[in-house]
Amino acid sequence: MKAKTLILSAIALALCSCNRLDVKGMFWSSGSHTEERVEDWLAWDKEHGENIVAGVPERYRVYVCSDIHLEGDATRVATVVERENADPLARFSIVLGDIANESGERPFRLMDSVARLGGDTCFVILGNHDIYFDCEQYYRQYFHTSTYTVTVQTVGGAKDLFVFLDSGNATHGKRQLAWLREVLQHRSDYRHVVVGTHTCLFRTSYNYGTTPAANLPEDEYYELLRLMDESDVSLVVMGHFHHKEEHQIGGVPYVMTDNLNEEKDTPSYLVVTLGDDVDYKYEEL
Amino acid sequence: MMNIKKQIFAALLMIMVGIHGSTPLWGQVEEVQGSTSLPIEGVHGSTPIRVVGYGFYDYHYATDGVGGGALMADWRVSQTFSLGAGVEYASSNRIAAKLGGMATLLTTSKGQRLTLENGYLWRHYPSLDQQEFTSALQLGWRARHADLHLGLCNRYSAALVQRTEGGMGTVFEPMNVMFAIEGWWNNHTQPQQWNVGVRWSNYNDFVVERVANWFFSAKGYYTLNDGTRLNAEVGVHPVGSLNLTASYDGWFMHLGAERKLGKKQ
Repeated sequence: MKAKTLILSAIALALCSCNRLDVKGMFWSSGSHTEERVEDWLAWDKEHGENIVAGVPERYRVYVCSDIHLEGDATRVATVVERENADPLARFSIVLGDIANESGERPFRLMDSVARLGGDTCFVILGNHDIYFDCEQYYRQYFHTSTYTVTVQTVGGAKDLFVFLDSGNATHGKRQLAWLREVLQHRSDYRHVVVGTHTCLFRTSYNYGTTPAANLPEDEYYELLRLMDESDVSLVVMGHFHHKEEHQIGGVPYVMTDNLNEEKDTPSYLVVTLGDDVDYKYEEL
Repeated sequence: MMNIKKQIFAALLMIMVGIHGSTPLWGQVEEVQGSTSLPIEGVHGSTPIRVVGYGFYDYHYATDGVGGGALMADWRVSQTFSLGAGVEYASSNRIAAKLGGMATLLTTSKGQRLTLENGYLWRHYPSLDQQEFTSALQLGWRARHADLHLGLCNRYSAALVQRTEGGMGTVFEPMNVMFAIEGWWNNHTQPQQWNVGVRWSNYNDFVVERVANWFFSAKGYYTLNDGTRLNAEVGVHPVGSLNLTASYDGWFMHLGAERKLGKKQ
């Protein structure tokens, strides 16, 4: 009996002190809620103004990756950003969250240094791994917002809109959905609209490595599908489940990017080309 | 004549279970607040029909609260089979109906039961033109102080209106694991007093939500008389490890009653 108690105590202690498994989250709620964060993100956006990428050719490319889960060095995500910088048609890269894999500042500092490589911008949003334990403070410190837009102005006068969302809590929340509806009301001002969010809307295939990973409540899921369809969104890019997946619902393509963490044998990222149409393809790293 | 009908229903249920190997959706009626309408001895176990109704309120911090109600009924076809059906309405403009059956595979002399539940759920979101169909198969084991369930469910959703342009507008979400672990203070069949229990699970009485959105709850019932009881359940959804289930972070409550109908057998 004494031995069993000791073993159980040791297991409990190990789990509680583990910096990769957020045991307490299984039993009670801690950390910030989506609503609070979105208010902060939108306040930051208002204070710092709209993101505009100007002087872009009519046909250009954007590199998208996700779930980098930095533990060792940042070689993989740095390679994506460097390839984007070297591509004459590419204008910026996007990281769809899950920068971290455990607690601490290091992954965010690394990601920030990668984002500053070369001359092009790297836009980042957060994933669920970036807000548990003490990670959120570092995300805020380095990246400041996860609910924002980027307007691309082409030399020919066309405008494309990129909308980035915070789904770190596997939901977008009331405030953010209201903001998204408001943004998409101006859909007709833009040639293309691309939406990026971390949490994949669908749970359509087996992936034992991420089996416990959740996604949106169904009411919200259906509302988003409807909103994307009605707003004629050109492309929705997502991450979270660590594999490639594509869907076409209504006229809207939904594409899940692969993951880039070191445990992945065949990592890949997404290259999106915007011109008269929006095309995408997966590129092996 | 009655026996033939029962045999037909039993055969249909066997086919359902055999072919689809499916769900618990209906079985949930059987499980509401730990009730025992199936052929296990006790005050609730000997009548052929049971009607269950409850109201609910489900609050998530990140979305609006949802209220609603459900009405369900089950019919004990034979000593080993039970069929049921139910409807649900939620204030998020969601309506649902379900149909299912439960087969008792094994009953021990101590009242322990091994069951297989098979159910089908249809949900419709009129304002969003979305419909979904879920099937589930669940194995259950019930003893005096414990009630355990483990199963799989498949969901197929269809955005019918959106099929007219572009893709099919349909999504298949297969093989979600569902589970329930319940501990009860007293025997489920104890009459004329409160019985209370605790539950750890990732699906509610009516609907299998997405995997991993588990919750903890306290539940109980009070037996008013021979055929009527009051049911209650209050629970919380934690954010989950790594915030994985944070979309459902919040709390919920169910309040309802159930009534046994028909002559005791």
